[in-house]
Amino acid sequence: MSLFVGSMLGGLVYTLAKTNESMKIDEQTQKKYARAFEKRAAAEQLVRNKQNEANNSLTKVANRKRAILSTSMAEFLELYEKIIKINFIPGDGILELSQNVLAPVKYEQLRHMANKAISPMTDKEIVVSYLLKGIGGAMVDDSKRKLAMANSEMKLSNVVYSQAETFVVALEAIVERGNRLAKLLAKMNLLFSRSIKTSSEIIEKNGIHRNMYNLDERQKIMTCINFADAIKKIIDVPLLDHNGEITQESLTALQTGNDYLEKLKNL
Amino acid sequence: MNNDITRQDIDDYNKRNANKDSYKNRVFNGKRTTMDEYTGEKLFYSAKGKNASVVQPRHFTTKKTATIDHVVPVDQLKKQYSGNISKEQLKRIANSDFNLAVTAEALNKSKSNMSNHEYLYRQLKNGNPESLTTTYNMIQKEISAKIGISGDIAVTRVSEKVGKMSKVNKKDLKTFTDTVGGKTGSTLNRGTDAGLMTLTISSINNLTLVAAGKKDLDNALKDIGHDAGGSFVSAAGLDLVKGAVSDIAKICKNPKFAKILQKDVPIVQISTIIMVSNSAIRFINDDISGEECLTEILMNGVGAFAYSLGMAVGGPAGAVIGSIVVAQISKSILEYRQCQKLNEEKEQQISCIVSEALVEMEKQRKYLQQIITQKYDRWDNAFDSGFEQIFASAIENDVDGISNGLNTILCIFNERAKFETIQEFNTFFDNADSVLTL
Repeated sequence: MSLFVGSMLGGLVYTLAKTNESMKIDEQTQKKYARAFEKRAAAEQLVRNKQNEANNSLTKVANRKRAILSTSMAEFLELYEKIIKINFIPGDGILELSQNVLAPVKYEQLRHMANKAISPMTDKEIVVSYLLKGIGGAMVDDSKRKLAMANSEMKLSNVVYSQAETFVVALEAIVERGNRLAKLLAKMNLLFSRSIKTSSEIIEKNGIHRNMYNLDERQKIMTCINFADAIKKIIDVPLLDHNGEITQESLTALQTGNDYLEKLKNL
Repeated sequence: MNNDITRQDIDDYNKRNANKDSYKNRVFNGKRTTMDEYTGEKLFYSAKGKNASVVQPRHFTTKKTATIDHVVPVDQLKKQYSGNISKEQLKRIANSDFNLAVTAEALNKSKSNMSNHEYLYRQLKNGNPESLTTTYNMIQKEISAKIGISGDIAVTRVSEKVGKMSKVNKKDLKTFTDTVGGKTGSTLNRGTDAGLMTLTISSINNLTLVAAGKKDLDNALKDIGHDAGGSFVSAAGLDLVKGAVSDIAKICKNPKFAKILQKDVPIVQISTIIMVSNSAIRFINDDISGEECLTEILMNGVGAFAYSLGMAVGGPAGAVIGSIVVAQISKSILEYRQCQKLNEEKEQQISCIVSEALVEMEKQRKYLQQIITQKYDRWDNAFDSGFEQIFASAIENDVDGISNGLNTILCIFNERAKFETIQEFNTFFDNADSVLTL
């Protein structure tokens, strides 16, 4: 017993000295971890905000489509079916309205990608380090290790943030698309509504007797049908352009980020 | 002590302490202080202060004042060798540099006529063990001394035989043995570390394999000899250590380690434990000194356990247990070192990948932004232009113009107006069976 007590005494002073150093390193580590987590939280918030914006934009488009279909388009169909057989085929853009499909960006994917990959110090490493440096030394070693991990965490967070920025650009494209479609539909609907009013008087006057329609009247009917067809085609454009160039390039950019994050995760 | 030879016949105080070229004066080399060869602590040349008068009582304690110790005590030398070599040779050997060490008066007095390992063992048993630094230094000095002594004697014997055969002048022979013997001792001293370390590492590695049943003893001993052959250890020293190693090897075959208490501490076995730990750690972390590592290992549990276990069991059996435990530690430490290296490499890899990632992702993001801007600029231009055309054509009652305006807008979606000319519409409208497909 005395042997152990005696032999431990010398190590005690060393342990205490190293413990102080460990606490300093722990403080540094905590700060770094805090910064890393702040960065990651900022990345999450960035994407969340833009995702909300994208959702709002697409909701606006969807609502506008529904509104036009239930008002102007319904009015047109009711009016023109008096004089023409109409075959209304709902396209993808109309079908998706009933499914309530909105922006498919999954934020969880970002979180999965961003999970840090650095393994913590194993028990064996701690034990061996203890042998080399005593309890205080093992703490220092582990602290140094944790500091190194925190540094790596920080670097990884920068990549996560960069990926978030790419997500934001991709989402911004969706927002832009949605806003423009909504504006286009609004403007087209204005013209369409006026055209329906004009052709309503003409059809009331001439009815099913097509040979009764003069040139000017035919031109107005033609214009109204063209507006109806144009609006229908715009409504048929899906909320998201899955095969478009922007989508493809967005996926490529996001995949690049994913690949780097996977590489870091697998280290 | 043999009645024919007295202590005074063997001890040479002047050569140790007083002469101008005594061991003490050569070690101090004109300075007031030097390092204790056992403890590593600072020692003062004299007990008196710098400007002390002759009658001044001592200024420095016995713990701080230097004296010269016979590593292998005179009594033991006499007991072991007086029958084999002459008094003069014994005197020379006892007072050769390899058998002397500058240490504190207090330690020297406490050690008395014990060998270094006996002193260390006594301290341990009394619950007052010396530090690892002291333990290591004292053990190493003892081994070096014993190797030096064996080597010196071997040289002396060979020289005598050669001298007899070739009728060499006695005086020349004496000069030769003094020179070669002395040189052998000091050279061996320097080479002891490397030599013994190689030998002990090889011993532990090989005997662990024997204990594990992966190697037979004969091959293990051959490999040990082969490994140690390249190291600078005299034949006498090699035999000394090999003998101890063989003892250990015999025990390896017996899985049940009997608790054998021996009076004599097997110093070679202890040094084996210490030096294996030392060498294992020393090449792992270049910024950790051997002594520091040994201090840390022995003072932090496992090493002390192995050490005390070895001491408690005693003898070669204890050394085997200690050796295997230390071998395991060494293995873990080696793996840890690998891990550390890998971790450093990993850190560098992370930095590299991160830098590359940030640059590439920024580049791709900018390109994406560019495409988006270009696309929506095209949309904006088409929509503005199309509506402008529609309004202008509506004012002029130009139905074809309205169609063209719609085409400008719809071409963004790869579509065209239903009817582009009034003629087209008339063809449709005049056909009673036509169906408007939307």
